Amino acid sequence: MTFLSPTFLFLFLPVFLVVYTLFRREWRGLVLLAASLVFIAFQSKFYAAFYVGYLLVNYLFGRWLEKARDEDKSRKWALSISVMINVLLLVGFKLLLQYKADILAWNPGDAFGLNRWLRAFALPIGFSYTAFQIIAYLIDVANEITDSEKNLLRFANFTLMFPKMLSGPIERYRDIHTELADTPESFEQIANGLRRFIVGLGKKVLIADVVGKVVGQVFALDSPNIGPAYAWFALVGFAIQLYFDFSGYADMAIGIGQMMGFSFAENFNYPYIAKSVGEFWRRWHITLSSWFRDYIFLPIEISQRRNRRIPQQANLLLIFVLTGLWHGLTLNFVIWGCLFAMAMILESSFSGKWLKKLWTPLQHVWTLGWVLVAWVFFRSPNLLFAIKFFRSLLGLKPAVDYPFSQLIPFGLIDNSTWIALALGILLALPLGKMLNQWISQRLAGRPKLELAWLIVRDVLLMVLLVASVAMIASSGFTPGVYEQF
Amino acid sequence: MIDFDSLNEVFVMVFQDPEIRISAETTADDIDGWDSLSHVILISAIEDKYQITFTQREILRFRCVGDMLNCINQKLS
Repeated sequence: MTFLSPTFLFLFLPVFLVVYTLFRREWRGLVLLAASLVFIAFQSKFYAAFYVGYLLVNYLFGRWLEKARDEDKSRKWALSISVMINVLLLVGFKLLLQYKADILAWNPGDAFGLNRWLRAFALPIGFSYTAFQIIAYLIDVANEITDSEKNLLRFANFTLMFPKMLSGPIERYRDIHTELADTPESFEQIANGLRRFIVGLGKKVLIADVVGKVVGQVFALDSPNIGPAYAWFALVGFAIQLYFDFSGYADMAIGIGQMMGFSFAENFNYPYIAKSVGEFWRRWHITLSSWFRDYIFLPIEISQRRNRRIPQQANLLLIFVLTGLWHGLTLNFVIWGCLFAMAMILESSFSGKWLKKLWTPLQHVWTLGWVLVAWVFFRSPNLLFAIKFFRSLLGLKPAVDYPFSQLIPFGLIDNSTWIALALGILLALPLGKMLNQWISQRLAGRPKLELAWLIVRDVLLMVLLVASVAMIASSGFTPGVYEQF
Repeated sequence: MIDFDSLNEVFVMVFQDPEIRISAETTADDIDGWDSLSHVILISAIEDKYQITFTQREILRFRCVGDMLNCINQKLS
């Protein structure tokens, strides 16, 4: 079940919200936990049971760490064991997912009787996000940044809360622990949450999915022997698809959170307007990049500040390779991470000062250049495909001629794709935000006009909702790109 | 005991901006250029100026400039 499946949109979410709102505040934690377990059980009942065990173990780790943190040696032991178990689980799941076909091929006789289970294996829903959240929590408890959660129900909701299971945001316990204890009630917050959810739905269904259909066709080719125009269309289209897909999901998660009284962390801040790769990473998947900054990069840098043994460049390379591997244990993701690390190393050296003095449009060209090249590795199924795709982008003659039926003639990219792409490019800029601010300033102190504008805005949102639902009904939905991680 | 004026001098030097005025609530979001790379330079500059050494945990616990100042004053006293 995803946010776009009819079961979620027309049954699960409305029923949950009504029940959640009707219950007294002290019972809402139980309602939320029950809903989250049902949400996970839709993927697999086994994983719902797994997650119950997982949260119990980590609840105990948190309590243990709090007791052990006054004594340095015990603290280090407790932290190493608890974090290591979480890391091993995450890496183990990712390895199984990556190599299950090879394991099945190596063991065709099913010597251990596990092949049926292995064939059906999928990553537990949201585990990459959940494990990172838990690791951050454990480190924060060990460093006395927060106390451990004593209430098991609150800890369970922190771990399993369904809106952030699919694609994050990766929440910090210290930021939402007061809301876990008691969520504030406000009609305005529910209305704002609903608005945010509709915007996210529209971004995903009307832009990401429409552009994504063509992008998907190009990247599903056996070999990308296409002309440069198609290749550039597919690459820019993918950049738009990924942003609107992922940020649309983040909007929906934040919106549902708001309707329940939670303020989740923002995950995006118009990343494509960044003037440097460093700035891009402060605007893109913010909760993941800040996680790597706070729990890997900074501790290493701080410990090395007096006696440097690891150069800062190596530290940058480490966190970006790890960021790549978080997405999947493939060579393409490693190269993707190395590319961003290379850009960051250049920016942190003399080139950074040079970049700041450049004409602003050239700063954008620099940033988008790195990002687009990195997206080729991110989206290509393998390294060979990525290399051939670069040849297509540069208009070099394909090495092998493929039948025309495998190519996508421009005629098949219909008007709706062009409109979605154009809208995507426009809305990737903060134009809507600026327009909203401009109108609000103009109408300040004129209550009747302000009310009229609010009504117009909500009517437009209703139109957006109807259009999104109609689109799902007519052409189905595609799962979010970041759900797979 | 040191005050914000004294600490402000370190910020002005590290971020090369004479206009900076810090307060207890100032965070990295409020100062242009205060990223993870410059954060470590700032910490080292503070340690050098006041002849103190922060522990790793102390540094990781800083959420705002007020936390920093409290920690410095604790060490100096």
